[in-house]
Amino acid sequence: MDIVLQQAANGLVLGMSYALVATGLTLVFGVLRMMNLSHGELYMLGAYILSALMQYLGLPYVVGCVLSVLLVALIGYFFGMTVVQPASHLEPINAMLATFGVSTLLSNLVLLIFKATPRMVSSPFQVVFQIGPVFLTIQKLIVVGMGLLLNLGVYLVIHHTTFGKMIWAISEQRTAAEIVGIDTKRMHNLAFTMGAVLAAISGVLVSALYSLAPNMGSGIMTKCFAIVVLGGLGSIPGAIIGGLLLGLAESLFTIIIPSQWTPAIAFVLLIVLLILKPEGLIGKSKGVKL
Amino acid sequence: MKRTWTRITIAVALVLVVAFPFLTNAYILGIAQAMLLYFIYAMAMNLLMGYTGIRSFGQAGFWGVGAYVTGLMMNMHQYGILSLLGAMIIGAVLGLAVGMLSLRLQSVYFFITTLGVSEMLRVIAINWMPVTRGPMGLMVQPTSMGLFLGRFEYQTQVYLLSVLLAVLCFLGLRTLMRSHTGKILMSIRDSEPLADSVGVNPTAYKVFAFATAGAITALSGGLNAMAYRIVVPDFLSMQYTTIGLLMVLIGGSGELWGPLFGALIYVGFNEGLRSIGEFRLVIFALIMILVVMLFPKGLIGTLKQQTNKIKQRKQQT
Repeated sequence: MDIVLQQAANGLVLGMSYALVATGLTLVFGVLRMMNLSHGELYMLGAYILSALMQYLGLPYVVGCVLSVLLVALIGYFFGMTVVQPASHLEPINAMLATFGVSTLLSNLVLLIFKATPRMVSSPFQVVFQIGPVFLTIQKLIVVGMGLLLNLGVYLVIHHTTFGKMIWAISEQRTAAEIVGIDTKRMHNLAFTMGAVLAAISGVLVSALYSLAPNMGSGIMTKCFAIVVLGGLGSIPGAIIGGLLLGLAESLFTIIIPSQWTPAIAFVLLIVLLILKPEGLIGKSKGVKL
Repeated sequence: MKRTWTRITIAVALVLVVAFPFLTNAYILGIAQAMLLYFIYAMAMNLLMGYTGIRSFGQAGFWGVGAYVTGLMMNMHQYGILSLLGAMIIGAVLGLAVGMLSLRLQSVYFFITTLGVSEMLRVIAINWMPVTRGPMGLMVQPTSMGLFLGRFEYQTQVYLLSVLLAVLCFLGLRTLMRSHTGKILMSIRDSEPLADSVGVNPTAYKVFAFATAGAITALSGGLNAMAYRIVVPDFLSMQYTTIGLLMVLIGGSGELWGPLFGALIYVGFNEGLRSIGEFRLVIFALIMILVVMLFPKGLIGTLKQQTNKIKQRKQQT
């Protein structure tokens, strides 16, 4: 029983990191109506820039985190302006391949600079403590806490502010939104940068828990696509619930199946769900064209 | 008159392509080999994306499965051509199964489901050590291709078989797209509700297209396993799906000759950039972004657009 509780706690932490990445992904998907294949790379960049800042500039973890997220936000804004926003006028498949180009570019640049050896980041919050039979670290609590806070924040911003309403307006009817005076280009860039920031925050938080590799982005991204579909496209609560579910499932299944098979769980869940309930776990399906 | 000239050009080109292995060295032949098998892959992708309007994000799954089936059969000392047939059958069955389960989904869900299937297959390829040898990769033993090809060197045999299969696929695809079935596929691409309303069962035709493309993609993957004699789980990764999509977009989606140019340009760039060394993939990514953004209609689509403009201008003056 103890191991189940321990794995459930670990699953919650893992799930929250998925949820953060998935929220960013679903935001870009729901608003820009675009499969953003560079999202995983922004997550990877968050972790790598942090590790570089700590190693070469000797910055403390927290300062490194803040700087790294800011830098990724800049990088995200740059690619949003130069590639993603112009590409959103093209056929969806062209736009998607353009973002795949960005992803290839970023992952190979990181591979060139840092080589393929796995890296570690040490955080001052790795203090272990015990609640009942479950061992946790402060870092893990921070991941869960930040995850909840940020996801709630994004939800509130998207659903209860003027900015959020503008974004919904654009996703419903781009031309109409332009007619009533919404600066769609700016909104697109903001939404994309918001997604990048979420990915980067997840990256810096998780970097202290798992080792870093240049291909970590694509691994988490394919899973997060499954999560986004499980939760319903464009739905933020769906992304959170889907992320937590997958994290829990992956952790708990390692008790009964060898851990190298866990990467398949996301896709097994996805396929079973789509066969049973083709419109996603939560929410109605929106007519997203692809 | 124009038609005769086109035919003569094609015939001469074909003779040159067949004579190629006897005129050149192994390195150049290897590149030509890659162009051929990617041409076959791009044709399958074009059937899906360009003609039927099915967006699949999991074609690497078929490609990789084809490679594994061919490799395993060749290691059991089967003729090369039989191994490829095995790959095609498995590819078609897989396509049928995945298509029947998921082609009724909305396109975007289908897109991600196919990604899920290929990722699942990749996890299996990594972990099913006794059969696939996991991340180390499966070495493929050379065997005779069968048919009349036995007398040539191994590399030449694979090359000539690839030429034959590429030509057969091209002619098959051309015949299919000119037939009634082909017209129905294109009508589904243009408007699925409309096709549905005139009594066509879109899902059935889409499953047919998906299974056919699955078989052809598996064939291409099988040729890849044969030519380079190693199969790794990475063949099932998203990267190979995007290569297929990219080739179709470069050549021109829904254009008969599009895949040929897509494959020539893709492999050409890929090899040409090898001299740059480490920065190859970075430069490649930049070119990829520029191409899909600046020439969304692909080479043939853009050429057609330009000639139309010139014609219009002539008519005006």
